[in-house]
Amino acid sequence: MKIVNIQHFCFDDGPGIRTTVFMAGCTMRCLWCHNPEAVMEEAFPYSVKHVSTSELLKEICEDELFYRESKGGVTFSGGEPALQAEALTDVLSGCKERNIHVAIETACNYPFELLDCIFEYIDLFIVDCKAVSDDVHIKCTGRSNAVILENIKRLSSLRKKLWLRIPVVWNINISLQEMNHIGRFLGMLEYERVELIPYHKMGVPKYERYGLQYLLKEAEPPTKEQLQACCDVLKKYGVIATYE
Amino acid sequence: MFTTYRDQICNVLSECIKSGAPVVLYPFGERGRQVKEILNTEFETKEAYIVDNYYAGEIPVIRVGELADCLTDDMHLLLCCENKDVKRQIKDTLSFFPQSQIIDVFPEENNYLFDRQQADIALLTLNDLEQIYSELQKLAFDNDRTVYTTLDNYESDVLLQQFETFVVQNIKNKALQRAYSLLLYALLKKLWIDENEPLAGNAAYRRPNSTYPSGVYEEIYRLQKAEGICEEEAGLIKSAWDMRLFTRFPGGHVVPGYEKLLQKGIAAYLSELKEKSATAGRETEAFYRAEMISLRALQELIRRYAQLAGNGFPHNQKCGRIAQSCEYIAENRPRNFEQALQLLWLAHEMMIAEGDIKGISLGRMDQYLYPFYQEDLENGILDRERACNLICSLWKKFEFDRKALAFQNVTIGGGGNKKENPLTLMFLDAQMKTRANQPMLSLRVNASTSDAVWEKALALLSTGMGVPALFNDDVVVQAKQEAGVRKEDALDYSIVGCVEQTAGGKEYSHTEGLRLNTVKLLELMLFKGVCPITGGKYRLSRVYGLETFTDFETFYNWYKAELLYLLQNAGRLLEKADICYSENWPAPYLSLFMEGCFEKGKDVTAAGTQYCNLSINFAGMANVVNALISIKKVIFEKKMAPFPEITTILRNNFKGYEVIRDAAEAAPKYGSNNEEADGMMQELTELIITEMGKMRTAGGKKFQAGFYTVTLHAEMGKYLLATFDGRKQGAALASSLSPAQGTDTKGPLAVFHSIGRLPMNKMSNGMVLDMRFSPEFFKTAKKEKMKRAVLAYFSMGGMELQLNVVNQETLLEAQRHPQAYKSLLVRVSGFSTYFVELEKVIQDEIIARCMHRNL
Repeated sequence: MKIVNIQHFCFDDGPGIRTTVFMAGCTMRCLWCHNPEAVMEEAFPYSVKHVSTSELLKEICEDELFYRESKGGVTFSGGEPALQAEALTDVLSGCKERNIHVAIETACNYPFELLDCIFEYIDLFIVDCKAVSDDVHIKCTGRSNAVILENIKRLSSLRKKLWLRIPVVWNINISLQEMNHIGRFLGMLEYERVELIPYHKMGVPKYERYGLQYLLKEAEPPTKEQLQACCDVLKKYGVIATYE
Repeated sequence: MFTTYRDQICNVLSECIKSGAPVVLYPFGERGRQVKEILNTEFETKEAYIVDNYYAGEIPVIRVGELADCLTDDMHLLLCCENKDVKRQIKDTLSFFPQSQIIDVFPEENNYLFDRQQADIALLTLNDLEQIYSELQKLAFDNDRTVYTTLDNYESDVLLQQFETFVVQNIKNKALQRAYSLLLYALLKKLWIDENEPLAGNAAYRRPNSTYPSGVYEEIYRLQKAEGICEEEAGLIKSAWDMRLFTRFPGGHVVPGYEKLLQKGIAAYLSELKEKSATAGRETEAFYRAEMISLRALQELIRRYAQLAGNGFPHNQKCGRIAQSCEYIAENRPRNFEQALQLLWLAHEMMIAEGDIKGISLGRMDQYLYPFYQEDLENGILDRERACNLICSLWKKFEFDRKALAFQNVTIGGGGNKKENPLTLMFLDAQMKTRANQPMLSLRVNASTSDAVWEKALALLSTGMGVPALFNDDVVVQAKQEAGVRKEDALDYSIVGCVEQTAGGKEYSHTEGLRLNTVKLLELMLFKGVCPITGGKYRLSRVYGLETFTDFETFYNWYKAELLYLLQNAGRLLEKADICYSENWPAPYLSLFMEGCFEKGKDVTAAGTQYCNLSINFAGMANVVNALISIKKVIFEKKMAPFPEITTILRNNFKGYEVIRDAAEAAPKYGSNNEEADGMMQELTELIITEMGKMRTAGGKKFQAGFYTVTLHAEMGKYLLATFDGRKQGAALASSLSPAQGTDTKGPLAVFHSIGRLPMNKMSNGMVLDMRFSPEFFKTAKKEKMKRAVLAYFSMGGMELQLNVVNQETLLEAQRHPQAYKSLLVRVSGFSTYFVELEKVIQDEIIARCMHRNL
C-alpha cells in the first residue's frame, strides 16, 4: 500500500479518538487541496511510503484501548483511499475482526463497484459535497460531479452512516446561489451530519516548498457571517449544518 | 547596642577601601548583594570577584573550586553572611589564604537592623527584653491575661527579630523555642484587614529565623555533631550536593488535619491539652507545653484580628461581622461556613508563620467544609453566591505571596466513601473566577466523577493554568497501600505539595527529603567517580576503566549495581538526617493537627504520626535510559567510537562529533512506544521500587519512591556535561517521568503507551506526566474526546496527568527552539499537526490567533 502519513490522536476525522491513515493517489485536483503530497505523487516522490498489511494493521491496533474508551477508530483519508481498495481489503477486515470502527474519507469519484471488496467493512463514509452545479465543480476540482452525486445518493439510500462535508471557499466554490443548489440536493438525502469546513491556508507553503503553483493565492478564509449565511440557506431545505 | 546593616557594611568597606586592596565577596546571598550594592554605589568601586557555588544568575561569579587560582594575597575577602556555621565552613575551605585578609562583615549574628528609622525602637536594653519576655511567659501559661501590642510594620519586624534571638539564646528545648517564637509572632505581627474582603487574615512570610535549617550544609554540620558522621563522609556528602547528585528539602510537605480543629474548636482542644499535660511524664512534658503555647499563639492571633476588626475600618463594611466571627472562633467550634473558612485560614496563616511552609497543603477541603455549607443552606443563612465569594476571598489569601507560598495543594472530588459535592464544583468555579495560581487544585478521578465536574475541570484546564491536576484514584490507592497505609486511609488520600499523595492529617513523610539524579550517576561512572563540573569526588562501589567493557550488558549491569549502591547509601543517610532533623527542628504547631502526636506526646518530626515514611525521588530517568540505549547502539553495536572516547565527546559537548550526536539522537527513545527503550525504563523503575521496598530504618520506617522533578530537572541539568542521549551541556533534564524534551515524536498516545508499562501503582511518592496541547483540543465539541483519552490512559494504569494548554509564550519558544518542541500538537481549522513542522508564516498565524484569544 502507498501511504503518505499515519496520524494518531485525531479528533476530527470521525467519532471519538481516531488514527488517520493518509493514502497516496487521488482522482481529483481541487484548487484548495492541502495535502498535495498525497494527490500528486509524482511531485512528492519522497513523501510516499510503502507499508504492508500487517505493518499497517499493527500500527492501527496500537491505540485500540483509546478507540474503545472514546468510541473512536481508524479513518482512511488521503488522497483517495478507494483507489487502493483491493489492497486495503485485508486491513479493513482485520479491523473489523477486532471490532475497530472504520471510517473512510472519500471523494466518491469512481464507479461504485470499486468499493465492493471493502464496502461491508466500512462503518462511516465521510464525503465532500464540493459543489452541485457541475460547471462550478469542474472549475474547482477539474472533474465533473456526475458520478460523485450519484454515488452520494446511492450511499444515502443504502443507509450507510454518512457524514457530508462542504468545503467553504467563498466566491470560489461557494456562493449563496450554490448553497441553494447544495441545500436542495442534501435535502433529499439520508445522512448523519453535515459540516461546513472553512477554507484555510495551511497547504500554501507546501506548494511553495516544492515549486508548485498555488492557484488560490487570493482566497481568504470565510468569515463567521459567511458561514452563518451558508447555514441559514441550508436550513431552508431542512439541512442542519455545523461548523467550528 | 544594635546597628543597621548599612552602617555596618559602610564601616567595614571604608576600612577596606582605605587600604586600596581589591575586594572579593563571598558568599553571594542576600547580605552579599547588599554589600555589593553599597560597594558599587556608595564607594563607586567594583569588586574583584564574587564567589558562590550555587548562584546561577546573570552576574559572573566564580566557584569555590576556582578560588585558589583567583585569589592573591593582597586581596580582602569579605565574608558576607551572618550564620556562624556557614562562616566556619567557608573559613575551612580558605586555609591557603592569609586569615588576616579575611574580613567578617557581620561578626554578630542577628544583631543588625534593616533601616535607620528602626534603630530608635531597637535601642531596647537586655533588661527591657527580659521584662517583656517574662510578660510573654506569664501570658503563655495564664489564661486570663491578654497582651495586645499595636506596633507598625517596622517595629514588629525588629522586635520579633530581637525576641527570637533572645528566645533561642535562653531556651534550650527546640520545640519550646519554636513555640515561643510563634507566640511572639502572634502578638507582634502587624495586622491589617483588606479592603472589602469578607475574611480577615494575611499570610506574611517571614525569613526563617535560626530555629530553621539554613540549608544542606547546615544539616551536614549538625549530622557531624550529632550522628558521628566523620569528616571524610561529610566531605563526600557536601561534594555530592555541590554536583547536584541529590537535592533535599526536608520538612513541610504535609496535609495538617485542620479538620480536627474545625470539629473541636480551640478552647476544647486547649483544655484537652491542659488535661493531658497535667498527667504528662517527664519526657512528654515539654512537648505538651510547646503544644499549648502554639495553640495559644493561634488564639492570640485570632483575638487580635477580632479587636482590630472591632475597631472598624472605613474601607471594609464587613468588619463588624469579621470581629464577631473571630471573637467566636477564638474559643468555639465555628458555627457556620463563613466562620469555618475564617478559622481554616487563620490556622493556615499560623502554619505559614511556623516556617516549614514548603508544600503545606489543605487536604480534601470540599469534603470537610461540606457539613458547614450544607447546614447553612438548610438554615437559610447562606446562598451559593455568597459561598462562592467567600471561597474566592480565601483563594486570594492563598496566593498573597506567590513566591513564598507555593505548592499549597487542595484536593477535590469524591472517592473512598466520600462523594463529590456542590463544593467540588464551587472550588473549580472560584479558581476560574480568581485565576489565582494558588492554591493548586488536584482532582481525584474515578468512575463516580460526574460529567459536571469533568466539564468544569476541562474548562479550567483549557485556560492553560494547568489545574486541576488529574489523579487516578485506583492507582493512587494501590500505591499508598504499597507504602504501608491501611486501605481506609489510602482511600481517603489527598495531595501534598506537587503530586505526592498522603494520608491527610496522619502522615509526615518528608516527601522532598531526597531527590537523586540518576543520569549524574552515569556521568560519574564514565568519569571514574570525579565530577567533571565541580571536580568533586563520589565514591563508586567499583571503578572500572571503560576500555574493559566489550559488551553493553556488562556495562549496564554495572550501572544497575551502582544505582542500588547509591540507593542503599542514600537510605542510610536519610535515616540519620531524619533523626537529626527531629532533634533540631521540631514543629510543635504542626503537631497540633497531626493524628498520633497528641496521643503519643511526640512531635510530628519524631515519628509522632501513624505514617512516617522516608521518600526518595528520581530525576533524569528518561535521560539515563536514552543515554544507555545510545551507548548500546552507537558504541557497542555500530562501533562508531571506542568506549573510552565517550568522555572526550561529552567534555566537548559533541563539538566535532556531530555525526555521533546524530546517531545518538536517532537511537530509540523512551516515550515513543519503543519496546527497547520503554523496556529499560520499566526495568530500572522496577529495580528502584523493589529495592526501596526492602529497605527499612532501624526504627522500622519504610521508604517510598517518587518520580517527579518539580523544576529541579533544570537545576540538575546545569551541573551536568552533555549526556549521550544527545542532550547538550547545561540543558534541562527530562521533566519528571515525561519523555525527554523533543523525543516524544510519535505523539501523545505513544507517550501513554510508553508510560503505561511502568509500575505506577507502586510509585508511592507520586509521579508526573506532563502533556501539552493547543487550546483547540479543549473546545466544547472536543472535550469529551480529551476526557476519554485521559480515562483510557488511566485504565492503562496511569497515576497522574498534567494537562497543559500552550499559550503564546510557549509557541514563541517552540519557534525559537523547535528541537525541544517536536511533539507539540496544534489544531488548525479542523485538523491537528505538529507545530514545529509548520512553515513560519503559519506558525506566526497560530501565535497571532493565540494572542487574539487571550485578549
